[in-house]
Amino acid sequence: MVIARSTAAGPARPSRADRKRDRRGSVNAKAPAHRGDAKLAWLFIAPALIGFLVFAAYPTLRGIYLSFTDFKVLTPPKWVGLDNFVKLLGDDVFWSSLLVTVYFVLLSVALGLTLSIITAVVLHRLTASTVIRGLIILPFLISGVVAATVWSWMLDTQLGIINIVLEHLTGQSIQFLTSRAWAIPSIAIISVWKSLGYTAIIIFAGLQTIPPTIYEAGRIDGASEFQMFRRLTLPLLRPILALVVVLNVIGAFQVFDIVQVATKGGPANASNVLQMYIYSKAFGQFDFGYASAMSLALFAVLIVITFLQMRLLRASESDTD
Amino acid sequence: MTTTTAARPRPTAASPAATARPIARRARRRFSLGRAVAWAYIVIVLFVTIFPFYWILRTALSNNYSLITDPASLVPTGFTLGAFQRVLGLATPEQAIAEGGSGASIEIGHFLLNSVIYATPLDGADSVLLGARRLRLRPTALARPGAECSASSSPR
Repeated sequence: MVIARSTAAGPARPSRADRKRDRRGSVNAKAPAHRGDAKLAWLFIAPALIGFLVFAAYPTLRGIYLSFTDFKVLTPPKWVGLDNFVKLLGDDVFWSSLLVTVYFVLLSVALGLTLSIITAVVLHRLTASTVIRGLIILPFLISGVVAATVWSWMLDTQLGIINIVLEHLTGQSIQFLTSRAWAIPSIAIISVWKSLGYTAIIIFAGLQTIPPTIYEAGRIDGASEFQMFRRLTLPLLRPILALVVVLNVIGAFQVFDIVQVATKGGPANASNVLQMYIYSKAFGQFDFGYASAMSLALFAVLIVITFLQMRLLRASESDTD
Repeated sequence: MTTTTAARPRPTAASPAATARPIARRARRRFSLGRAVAWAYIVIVLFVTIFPFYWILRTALSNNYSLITDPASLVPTGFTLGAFQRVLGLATPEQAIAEGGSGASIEIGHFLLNSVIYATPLDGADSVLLGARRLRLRPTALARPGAECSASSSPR
């Protein structure tokens, strides 16, 4: 079987594929010892591929299908065309939760990015300690549920340590998670706390790709630390920053676990982010068709935003060379 | 031009060893306000990062009832290992209720198994995607040859 295929394809073979392989410097695939490689390779990636198809590809397609149906779990899905999307346009709660989500995204990405850049740059210029870097990435290693739980203890109006300290210092406490004004900022703080270390480490890695000679030249030209940061670090870091911004925006749009644990969307929908609303529609009211339509809308929003960001930030180009 | 000549005699610019490790050299410099502010910032970031972890530990080692009467205590209040015993299934329901728990049993082994089952296919799917990225999408911003060079040559 394998031999037959390789001889049959013989004349056409010494073309692109071979040259490509040679350029990479790897072994020739036609050598006898490597004949079964393709089969073996498929075997090796089969578990992962099946996992991907079953747990990512199928649910995505199924979700897209369900968004065009009326599906209430107990009865089979009924095709309703664009009804769900028409309903979506007139749904005030949807629009208000989209607004809440955008507010959260802007707040958490701006705060997170600023703090991450400062932290990464300061670490990079100050110390080579891997211990500090290891400590900073710690919050990324625990689950969002745990982070939200411990922060909701700490932010509690009566028993939270932060409010106890605030009351000592200023004489008044803040209703971090139970007031309309503070709910989203508090969730943004929790989310920034959790992702700061990870983002900072990615940026730190980006900083290490900037050749030290550039800073050397900057120093010889008499640039201050701040000037070097503005004129050298930030422009050269742009591809990494673009990646970080895109990932953070997508992640922030999809915030759920922290909201679910800390506020459950309250008070009075003040922190009812899109994912939260989708979840309550699907698993609270079992309106899976409508929830799928909202998910698809969120998906479309994310695609558009990501595309725009990649374009605006010229993410795939670099200025280092 | 003048700055260049002025900076020339400095050892930083002269020896190649110094250019390779600017950070180590800078660390031995005299005290400056900027560095002090930067270190203060790092200390604050570390404190905010680590404090919630300490708070988890402090609360885990506290008695549920004392937590309510003494919420500001910085060390465990009514020190007890009861919470850990309950999680590990070493406490009876009566003991759990006495410490302010619900008395329901916690099947930590089962929960762990669930997490492992959940994590396995996801990791598999991720590795397929990462593999595809490595083979097909090499020449992107992140995987430039320059990036690999500097990452391997300066293992800080």
